[in-house]
Amino acid sequence: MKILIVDDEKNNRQVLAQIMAPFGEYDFAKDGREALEIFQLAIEDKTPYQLVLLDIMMPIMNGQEALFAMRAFEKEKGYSGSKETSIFIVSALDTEKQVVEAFFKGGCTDYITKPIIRSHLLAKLREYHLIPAETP
Amino acid sequence: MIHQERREQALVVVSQLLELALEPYSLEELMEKALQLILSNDWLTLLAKGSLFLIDSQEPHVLKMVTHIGLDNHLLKACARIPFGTCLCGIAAQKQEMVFKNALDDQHHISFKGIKNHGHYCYPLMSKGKMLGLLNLYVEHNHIQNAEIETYLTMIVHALAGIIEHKHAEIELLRHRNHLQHIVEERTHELRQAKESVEQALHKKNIFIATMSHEVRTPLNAIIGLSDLLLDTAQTSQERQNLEIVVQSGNTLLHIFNSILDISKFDAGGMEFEQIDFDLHKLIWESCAVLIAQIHKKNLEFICSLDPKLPIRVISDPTKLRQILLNLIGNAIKFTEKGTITLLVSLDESKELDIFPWCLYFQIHDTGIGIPFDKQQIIFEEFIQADSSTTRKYGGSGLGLAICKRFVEKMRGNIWVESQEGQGSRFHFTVDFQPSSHPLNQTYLSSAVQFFGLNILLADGNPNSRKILSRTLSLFGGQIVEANDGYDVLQLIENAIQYNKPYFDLIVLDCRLPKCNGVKLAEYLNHLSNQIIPILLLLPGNHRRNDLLLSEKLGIARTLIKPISPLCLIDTINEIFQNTPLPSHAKNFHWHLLPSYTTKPIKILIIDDHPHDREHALSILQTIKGYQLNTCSHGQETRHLLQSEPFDLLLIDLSLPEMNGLHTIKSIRSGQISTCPANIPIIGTSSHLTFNTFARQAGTNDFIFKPYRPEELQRILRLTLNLKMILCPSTIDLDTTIHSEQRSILSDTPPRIQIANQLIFVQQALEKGDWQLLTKEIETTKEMVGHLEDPNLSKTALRLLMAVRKENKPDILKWCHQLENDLKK
Repeated sequence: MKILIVDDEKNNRQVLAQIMAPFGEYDFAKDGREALEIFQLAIEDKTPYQLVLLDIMMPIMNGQEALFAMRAFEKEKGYSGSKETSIFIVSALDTEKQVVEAFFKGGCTDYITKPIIRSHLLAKLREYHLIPAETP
Repeated sequence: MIHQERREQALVVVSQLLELALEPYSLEELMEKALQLILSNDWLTLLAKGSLFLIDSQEPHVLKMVTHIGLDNHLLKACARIPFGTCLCGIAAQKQEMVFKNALDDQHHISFKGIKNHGHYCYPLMSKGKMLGLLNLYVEHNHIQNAEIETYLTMIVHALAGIIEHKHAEIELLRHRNHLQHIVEERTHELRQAKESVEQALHKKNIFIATMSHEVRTPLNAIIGLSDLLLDTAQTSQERQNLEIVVQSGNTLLHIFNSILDISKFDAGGMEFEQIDFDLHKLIWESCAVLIAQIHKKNLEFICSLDPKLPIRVISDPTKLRQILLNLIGNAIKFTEKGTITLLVSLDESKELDIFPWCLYFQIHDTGIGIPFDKQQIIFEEFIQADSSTTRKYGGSGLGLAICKRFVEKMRGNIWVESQEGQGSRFHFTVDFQPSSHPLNQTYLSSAVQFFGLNILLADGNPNSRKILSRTLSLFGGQIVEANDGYDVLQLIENAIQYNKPYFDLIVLDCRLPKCNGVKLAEYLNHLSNQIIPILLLLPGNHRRNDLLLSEKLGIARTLIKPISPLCLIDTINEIFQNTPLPSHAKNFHWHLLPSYTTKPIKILIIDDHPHDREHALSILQTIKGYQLNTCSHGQETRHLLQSEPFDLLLIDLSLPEMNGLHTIKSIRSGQISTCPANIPIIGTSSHLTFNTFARQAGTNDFIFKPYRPEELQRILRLTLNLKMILCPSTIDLDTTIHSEQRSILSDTPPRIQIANQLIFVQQALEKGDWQLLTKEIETTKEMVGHLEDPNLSKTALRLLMAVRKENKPDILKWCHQLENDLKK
């Protein structure tokens, strides 16, 4: 699985990378614009990401704007529908109902709050069959 | 009494009545006085008897007596309340017209045994058709009705009615006012209660936060403490890195909680301010020392200037002062990416200096992002950052400035900010203090030895830092000559030698001088003369150990590490001259190049269309050992030679008519000749007087007029070459001043060449293994590539960036090479 980890805090990127390392190859972006460029490059290379973990509060371009732009690009290149990337918002912002709704409307797959707890994150990813179920 | 007099008297009564109305009497008092006034007039042929009635809103059809004069006791009770229609008064009121009788009759309902026969005038008092009251007057039995008197009475009655109405309105107004006042009082009470309950809640909240913070700090201490211990036994670098993040994040959290605790403690009134006698300078330097590591990490310049007039010891609260300083300087570092942070401390001279307490004035300047005007006030409020959008770049709780403001104001000072977006910010604050009674309390000026007339060459590339050093040095009597860069220094010394000017007694040299490396320059200057000029070398705080060792080896008199305390600077200079008397100025001074500088042959190419001139130059330079010379004319030949072998210096003639010289220089400087470095030293020559400006514009390092004398050419060559040798590329990675200097040289070159050069910085950072620097260089590279708008290059640059984000060295090398190759296409 190809994973793109987007967060302006290096520490947060490190934490996510170490959690996700067993499940695939990961890349980093430190703001929304960088994330969008990398995301687009991958699609152009025909090796799109399967998972994007996207922070909201970031300089230059925030997560929400990046999310909209990513979905629009997927549509343009024929990667929408079943081929679309799972994009998870990962943020310390309040999970106000409206905020979450706006993100879902924007096309995010799901929403995870910070601080990240490994078991919660992995459970969420299993829910979407992005990582294999736990073997008992 | 004649007619005219009566009329006048009537008018007098009316005007007196109206005057009465202006007095602050109650309605009852007013009526009493009015009745007295009316009855005091003998011309009206009335008995000195009468009464006044009013009607109130509760009983609109009853006359109520408010005052009387001379009324018989028997009548008082019966006449106190007269319903309409009863007796003469009631009848007049009911009919709403005057009733006159000159004898008792059956209409005079109210009577008593033995009543004396008499008559009445009963005048209803009315205004705008509304009954207000009644005036009852007595006349003699058989009084003859008199139209004239009635006219006057009517006038008086109208005036009376007016007075009553006016008074009614006044009473009504008063009633409203009282009502309003009552409402206000009620509301105030409610508000006070609300305020008290809010204050109580706030107090509770503050106590809660204080308790909470303590509770949070306990587990946090365990987390930080134990992670710190684990660091000692960490097995892998990954483990180490993770633990470091835990410690660092724990510390951040602790800091935020400490700020919250401070604010709540302050607001709950639980914070105590002390009055302690302490060393102000020590406090300031210690505070700065805490932040120096951060300043160097961001490669910022830090200047700290303390006014020599400041007392050394003061009485104030050192802990709070330190916290304010750490906060403000910390902010300056946080919001500044490049440039200088300056701390200025002086006495507030706007205050009278002979009146205690004195006032300290602190200024913290930075060259950071600045604060938009509309945000400059609110940043001192708690929980507010100038940028609170979701794309904000800087973290933080927004509590720091709120705490500073509270502390400063509690210390009877002010805090304010001046700022312009993109231009940096200037924070100012003042705090009161008491002078110390410590016996050793002095100011710098009085404590240090002075050195009058010492000639000092001060070389520092940062104008602010130079200004402050210069001020301090001149305050102690030094004669200062300032130099901006390495070139200046060399020229000043050259001039001094050449024109036999008084030579310098001391050189204060900043290691990070533009256009050269300070250590190398010092080394060179040390070899320059047979008489050693003491050099005081200023090293940046993040100097390399090598620099320090090297400077010791070179016999540099003293080194000081920036930031420099004025006291320390003066002490050091005193130390330098402690054992040697102040030097008498060197007169016979010999310039010589040391052999070590000429071991490698210097390859010079002389480009000139005139064969004679070529010969002339050749003959001059041939006499000097260590030069390897070539000559050619302009055009294809030059290009060939430059491409076939590397040169150290070019001497180019710029003569007319074809302007070939300028053309050659331009193509070299723009990097069009691949094997020749774009920044190769070039000396221009011409016999045209105006050509020196052309030459500088085209990018020559120096210029010499034809015909020249041998020494002149030799001097210029030496200067340019020495400069080149001192400019030592291996130290570029540390010296940002040089870094930016080099970049500015490159700013005229085409973007592709600039990017190629930028890749050299990337490689240097890679070799050093400094990931932070490497990331920064690659980010810059990507930005530069972005301007080219070449999709292929952009992709490669993006891949390079992705590689550095993952800290994947092989990938970085791979994409670096790819980018280099792509650029050449």
